Amino acid sequence: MIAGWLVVLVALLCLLLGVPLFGVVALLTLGLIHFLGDGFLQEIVGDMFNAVNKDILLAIPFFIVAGQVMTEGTIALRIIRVARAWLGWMPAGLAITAVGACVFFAAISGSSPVTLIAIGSALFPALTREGYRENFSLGLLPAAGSLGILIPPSIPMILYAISVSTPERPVAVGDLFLAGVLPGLMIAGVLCVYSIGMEGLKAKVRFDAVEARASLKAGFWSLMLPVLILGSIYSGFATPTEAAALGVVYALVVELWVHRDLRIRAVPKVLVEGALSMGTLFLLIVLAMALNQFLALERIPQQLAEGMQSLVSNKVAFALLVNIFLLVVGCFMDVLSAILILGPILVPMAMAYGFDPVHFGIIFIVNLEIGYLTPPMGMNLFVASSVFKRPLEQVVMASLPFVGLMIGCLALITWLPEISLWLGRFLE
Amino acid sequence: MGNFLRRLDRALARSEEFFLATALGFMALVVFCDFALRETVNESWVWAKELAAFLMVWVGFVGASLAAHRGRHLVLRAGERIFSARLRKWTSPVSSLLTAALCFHLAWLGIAYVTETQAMGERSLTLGIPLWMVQAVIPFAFTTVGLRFLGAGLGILEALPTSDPEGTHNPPTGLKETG
Repeated sequence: MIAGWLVVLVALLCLLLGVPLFGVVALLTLGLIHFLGDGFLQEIVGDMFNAVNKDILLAIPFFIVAGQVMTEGTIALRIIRVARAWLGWMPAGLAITAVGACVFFAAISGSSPVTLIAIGSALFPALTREGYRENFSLGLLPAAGSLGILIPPSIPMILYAISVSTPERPVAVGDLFLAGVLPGLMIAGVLCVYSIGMEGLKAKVRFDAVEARASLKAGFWSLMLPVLILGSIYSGFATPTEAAALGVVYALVVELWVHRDLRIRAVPKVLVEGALSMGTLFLLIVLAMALNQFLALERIPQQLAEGMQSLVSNKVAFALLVNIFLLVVGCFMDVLSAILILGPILVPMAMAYGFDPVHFGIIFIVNLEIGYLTPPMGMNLFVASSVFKRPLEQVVMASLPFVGLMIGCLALITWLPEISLWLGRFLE
Repeated sequence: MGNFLRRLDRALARSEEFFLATALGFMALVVFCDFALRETVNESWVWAKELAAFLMVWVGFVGASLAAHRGRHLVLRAGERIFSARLRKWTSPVSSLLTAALCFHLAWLGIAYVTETQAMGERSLTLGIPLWMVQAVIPFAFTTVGLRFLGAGLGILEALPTSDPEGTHNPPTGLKETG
């Protein structure tokens, strides 16, 4: 047992030294199997191969490529136009436009920082021009942009499903996607209400039916991508992987021949970029899965769950503890590594307290989404600071009220599982 | 010698890029065509899913190798705040060399595993191809990733890991050719 703790200590030291995360997980896996397991290290390679030889994993590069193809060119402007025409007449119209555009864009790109760059770089100057307080806009845009991982399709959700599923307890990607919809819309709604409260007296535009129709026409093909992907999954036509491949083909056809925003010779570079994003994750995925295989075999998550239950018997206290823990993790770790490494350990614990694994997945992702907005590792803070050319400290301070709002939403999402699970049950 | 190794690294990266673009495009096409055939003429390519999954294994590992070339592997940046700049001159090569050693160990384990699969003559279910051919990418990728980190540790190659998982700070060039 002491050897096991020593391995964990050395791995933590390597983490601080700057060894890449996949190297740290490799060290943990090799060390733990050597000292605590049967020492038959060669099997790690077999576990790695079996872990990735899976159909669902293909959905990740496909969604990345579809999002990248669609987000080249003018799609952000098309979506902003639709949101402006349909939502701009409300009080704090431009702020609500920004939230609406982020929700739509998130459904296409699936990435929080990309959503922030695409929508924020166009709307931050516009918000300032229309007299919105700078700190309000600086906080609103990173918060709305962070919805990218909660609104389906979402790559963190696919990774969650892959890493926590076991033969006895499969977690379907489709269920997670559905479970993210209402919490995502709820957070967007709260951001809108807050915007009306803070900036509701700002000039709004009159609703123009002609512009509303014209904007829909210009944005139609972009807005159809999430409809096509989610529609094909929930109508039972396609698996998530097939829907993602359908998304790639659709995005290429639209951008190459309808919008003509992408040239055919740029396609290989988009594909390489998609494969590279996958490559960045891949060693971490295979090694984390091999580690999880070993941990499951040794029943370590179950032992930790039992240990936790002997310390904390109350479900509410556990929920509070796990939320605080994940908020701290979100401050230091990126979303995908946190899911791969902590998901398989925390899910058996949560289930021991009676949490549904799909509901817990949404709690997990909302926590890490808040991590996009909290220093020192909040990705959206860095991106906002560099794209809007404002000091990081100012962005951090401006984001604080929005972090508070999102923590309030997180409490509701944790407390009321129906917010996450109702839509799935209703559509069943 | 350094120049030659850097050129070799770049040539390998170019062939990896070519492979990744072709394989990923082909994967998407195979999955899409299988889906379209099933939904239109009620026919299915039984081998499609297996082929796509095997290609995924190759794309993932070769992508990891290219990610080492481009310095895109994830790292926790907390260390930067703990160690002074002078100390980091030492910690950075040490972490690269440690990573290289781990990769070489995994590559060695990979070779042993693949040799065993080859000796047992295991074949895939629908395509019938020897499984060791698919698995061979594992030791290959760990070797190239290890070599790149070794090069970075010795100061020959640049393979600095990143805390930016989506490359947001270093957007790929060449994607802005919009008309």
